[in-house]
Amino acid sequence: MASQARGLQNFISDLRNAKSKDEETQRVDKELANIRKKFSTTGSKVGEDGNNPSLSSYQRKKYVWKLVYIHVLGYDVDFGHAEVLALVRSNKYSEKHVGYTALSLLLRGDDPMINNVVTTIRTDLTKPAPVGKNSSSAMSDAAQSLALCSIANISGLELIQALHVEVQHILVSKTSTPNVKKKAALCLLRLVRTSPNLVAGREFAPHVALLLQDKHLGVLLSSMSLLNGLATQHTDEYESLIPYVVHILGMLVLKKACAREYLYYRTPSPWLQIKLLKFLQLYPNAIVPASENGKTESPTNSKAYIAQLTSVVSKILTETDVSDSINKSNADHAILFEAVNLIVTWGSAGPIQLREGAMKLLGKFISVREPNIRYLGLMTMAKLAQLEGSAEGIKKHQATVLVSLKDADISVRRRALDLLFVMCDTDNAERIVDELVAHLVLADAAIREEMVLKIAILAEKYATDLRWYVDTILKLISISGDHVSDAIWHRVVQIVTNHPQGDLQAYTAATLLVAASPRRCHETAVRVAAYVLGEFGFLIAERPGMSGEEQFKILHQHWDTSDEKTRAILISTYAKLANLYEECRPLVAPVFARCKNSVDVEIQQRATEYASMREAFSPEAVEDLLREMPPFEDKRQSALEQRLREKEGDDSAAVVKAARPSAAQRQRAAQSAAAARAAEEAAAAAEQNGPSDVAQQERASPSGEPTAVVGIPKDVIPAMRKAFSNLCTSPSGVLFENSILQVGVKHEYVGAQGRISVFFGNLSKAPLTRFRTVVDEVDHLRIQKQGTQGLLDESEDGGCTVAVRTQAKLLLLVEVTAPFDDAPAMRVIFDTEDGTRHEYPLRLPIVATCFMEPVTLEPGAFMQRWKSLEGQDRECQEVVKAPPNAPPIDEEYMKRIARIITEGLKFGRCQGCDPTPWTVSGAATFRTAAKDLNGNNINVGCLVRVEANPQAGAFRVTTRTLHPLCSKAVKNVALVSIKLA
Amino acid sequence: LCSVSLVSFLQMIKGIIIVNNHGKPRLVKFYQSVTSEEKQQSVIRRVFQVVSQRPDSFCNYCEGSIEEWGENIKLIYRHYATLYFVFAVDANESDLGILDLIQVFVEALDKCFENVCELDLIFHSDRVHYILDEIVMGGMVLETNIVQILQAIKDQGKMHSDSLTKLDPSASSNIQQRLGGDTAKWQYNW
Repeated sequence: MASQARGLQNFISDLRNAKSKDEETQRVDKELANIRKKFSTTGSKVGEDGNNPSLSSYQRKKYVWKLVYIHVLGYDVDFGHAEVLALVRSNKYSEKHVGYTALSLLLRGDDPMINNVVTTIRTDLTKPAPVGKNSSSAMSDAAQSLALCSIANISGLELIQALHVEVQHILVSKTSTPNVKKKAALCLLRLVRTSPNLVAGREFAPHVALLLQDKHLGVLLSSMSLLNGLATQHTDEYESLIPYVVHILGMLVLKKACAREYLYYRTPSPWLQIKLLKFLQLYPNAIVPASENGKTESPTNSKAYIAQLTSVVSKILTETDVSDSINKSNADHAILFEAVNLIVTWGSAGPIQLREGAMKLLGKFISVREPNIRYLGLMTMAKLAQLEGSAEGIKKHQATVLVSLKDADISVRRRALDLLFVMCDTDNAERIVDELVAHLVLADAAIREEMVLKIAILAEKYATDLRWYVDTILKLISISGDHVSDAIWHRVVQIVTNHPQGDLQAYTAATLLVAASPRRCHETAVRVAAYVLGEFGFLIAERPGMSGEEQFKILHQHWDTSDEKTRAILISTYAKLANLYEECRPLVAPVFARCKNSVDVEIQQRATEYASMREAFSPEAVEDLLREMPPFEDKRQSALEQRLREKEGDDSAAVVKAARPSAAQRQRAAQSAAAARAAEEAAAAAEQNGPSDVAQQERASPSGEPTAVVGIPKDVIPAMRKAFSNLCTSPSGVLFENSILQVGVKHEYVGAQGRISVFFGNLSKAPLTRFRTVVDEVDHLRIQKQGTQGLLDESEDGGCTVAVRTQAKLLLLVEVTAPFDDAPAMRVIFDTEDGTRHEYPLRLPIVATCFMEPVTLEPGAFMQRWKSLEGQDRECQEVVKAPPNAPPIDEEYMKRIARIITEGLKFGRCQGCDPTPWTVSGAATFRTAAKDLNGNNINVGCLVRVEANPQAGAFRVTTRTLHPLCSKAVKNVALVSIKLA
Repeated sequence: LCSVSLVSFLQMIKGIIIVNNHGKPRLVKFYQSVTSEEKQQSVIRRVFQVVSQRPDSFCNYCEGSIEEWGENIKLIYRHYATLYFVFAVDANESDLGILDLIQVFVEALDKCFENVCELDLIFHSDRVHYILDEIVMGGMVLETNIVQILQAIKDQGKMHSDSLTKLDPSASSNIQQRLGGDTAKWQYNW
């Protein structure tokens, strides 16, 4: 074969010697100018399409190749097409060859030049072989080949429309040589892909059948490629060809009948085997005998090939082994993996021993060291995992897969991640998700987004307790917040909003408040926290350290570092806080005032609207505006699944898995649907009967089904918070009250023990049924419960009935075992007469200060202990403003503060330490029932000081104890009490 | 039924890129066209970035997205001395099959150039394209049998010289002479 022209060689050498990109560009520009000059016609003689006919064949080829070379280097080439066409039109093979090759490199499918070349291509395609002269017959063959090749490479719509008939004709023509046939088959395939309806299946299938009987393996291979392409688009129309395909497979695999030259490292044409197996994957039912299939009219109904197919696949499965030659091993495994894919498509219809064999092999592959085999093993096992009944077999390999998750190669890690995702179910979800989260810390950036997305999907799918889901997402945010997309945290909001059952909403609010407490936390955490606290913050506002004001402070510390999007969310949350808590209003107002001038339109608008809302609307309208969001519509496909689908395509095993709802999800969906239905019915009933006729709403929802749950109405929240705070420091009082229910509490304590009575009074005009309370177990309290019969039932259907104007009673005997700073949760659940379920999450006022015993200390002893307890862990300090409507701080006021410390917090006053009226100091012992090594009860000494600043109208509370939790608890109770003083 | 969805069975080679250890492309063939020269170069850079960071002990597959081709692109590559042979395929190609194909391609080059080296690819890009055209056509595998491939190339060569009417004596000048010692097989770096 002739070598290239010297001018081109020199040009390439010059470019290689270029010392810089600039020098290269200069050389290219010079050459382009030169070629342009050579190509431009001089005077009268102009060739077809404007080429320069005076160029010699050699020159034309040389310059065209230079252009191609320049194009490949990345430079724009926008001329010279005429010369390329001149070459294509030439009768000399050398010119034609260069012309066609240049054509497919320089031209794209949509190039307008195509029109000019169509005629030439058609001539080359259809040129009949001249009889007799051998050389020109070869020439016409070669021209056909070149034409087919460039049609396939360029594949423009124009070309297809103009030439597809000719291409089909060549393919089925008896006179076409094998070389031409195989190119025609692929060319047609390329055309069919661009225009799927070019070929009518029913008529064309017999032609393909003829091609499949060709003796030439090269023709077979191309025909199979074509057939796979056609059958993918119109599967039914090519089903009749299954027996031919199985026959060829049988020849290759069982009889090893194959032309010697098509053996690739002793394996009969692996490529062809792969294509055949891929074709069969299109027909999952092919393995089912016709009688069972119910398709009696099928042309393949005898299904005589089933036995042959089974033995082919079984032979591939059993006889493949790791070979010394890497190439031989590659080829054999390529076939093997395709056979396994075929077994997977058969599913449970296929022979069981093949499925088991495949599983065993894959188990071996995922533990070998050879990275390619391991990679493909993991990938194929993920496919196999979709088969029903395969789960148990695959779970055995969990430990092996986890090893690959830590592989150095990211491709292997990706596959391991994918397989773990697919094999995850309710049983192993926690383990797998925890492993993935642990690994996320170490994972590199390239895989993090994918991991975060998959963990989020799994946690949602398999959470039996949604609190675990919330925790998991929070971990994702703290480990890899940048990869937690909006879709993920929006999903948290949706799920929490849609699940009012249990204490999920309160739990999420509390957890997020804690997460947002540190000065530095990820902005995504701030966003979720802001949204969730705006919605459900009121559920935790009575907890120590979580009042509305504190919620505001914790959120607002992030204001300066937040972007506009976060600020917009914060503003809405502030509006909700300000609406609920009077003490937040003076904090929020200046923020709104500043934001009225924000450059961000969204923020400006929100701030202005919220700030003027109270003047513009009635209080009811404001309530309405700031009410919690209604439940979200439950879409069939979550945004996360959508993202996964975009990334991995429709047939990824992971996508199929994600789309299939888990048992936990189905259960949750059923609950939400029932709740929504009940809510709708209740609303419809209310509409029918008119709002005044409450008593007539007797359309109870069907019993046994979960119903709409009514939570604590927002308007009673402020009163409820106050009641709780009061109760922390007083022995009896009302904890909760609305128009239906009143909850009263009486509590007394001796040392580490307490006795708490809770009364539930029915204030409505009808009995309350299925009345139950659930008191959460906590680590730091031993609780014994007694109550009205049924009150403490654990089952959903249990409970007692509380008649009109009567009470149910609950008695709790508690013993404290460790310091704490919380208050135990109690849920009250009951049905009203109209069938509406109410569920109120309350807090019992059993706080640390309940277990204090006053201690009287001499001033010297007090100061000595005070100093010895200095230090970060032991001291808590916070400044609190007197309530806005309180009188100025005077001595009278200070007496009230002192009473809070002594009677409320049960501290002994240490008068000697308070020389002025502006301080109050006290000491106490926190008693627990826990024993130390010597058998003595463990007690914690606690000191407190309140210092007033009458000018600023503020108090500073400092607590020092041996235990950080005690310091915090005492400080919190002192703060809320002072606010109420 | 728990069958796997088989909707997109495209099986297409999107492009073939041979690039040396320094990121210089030695052969570039796009079967799924990319709109401009600039984009082509960015694809090449991206491909090189990905494969060059992987030690030879890793598997021969990289998944990921190449903006110009879409999200589900797999790079299947082999590293021979100074050159990376990279085939970009969609997710449905037989992975090991493509590895075999690369091997066939390299064996064919080796036979045609008698111990192929990087320089052959630089100075004979036309022949490299001719060989590739006999193996892959329009992004589809045309022939995997090395004997057939070599025969086709030989036939072409014969016709090529037949069609040349005894001209261009300069065309067959000896590169080796001009390049002197710069021909170390597979060792050459740009």
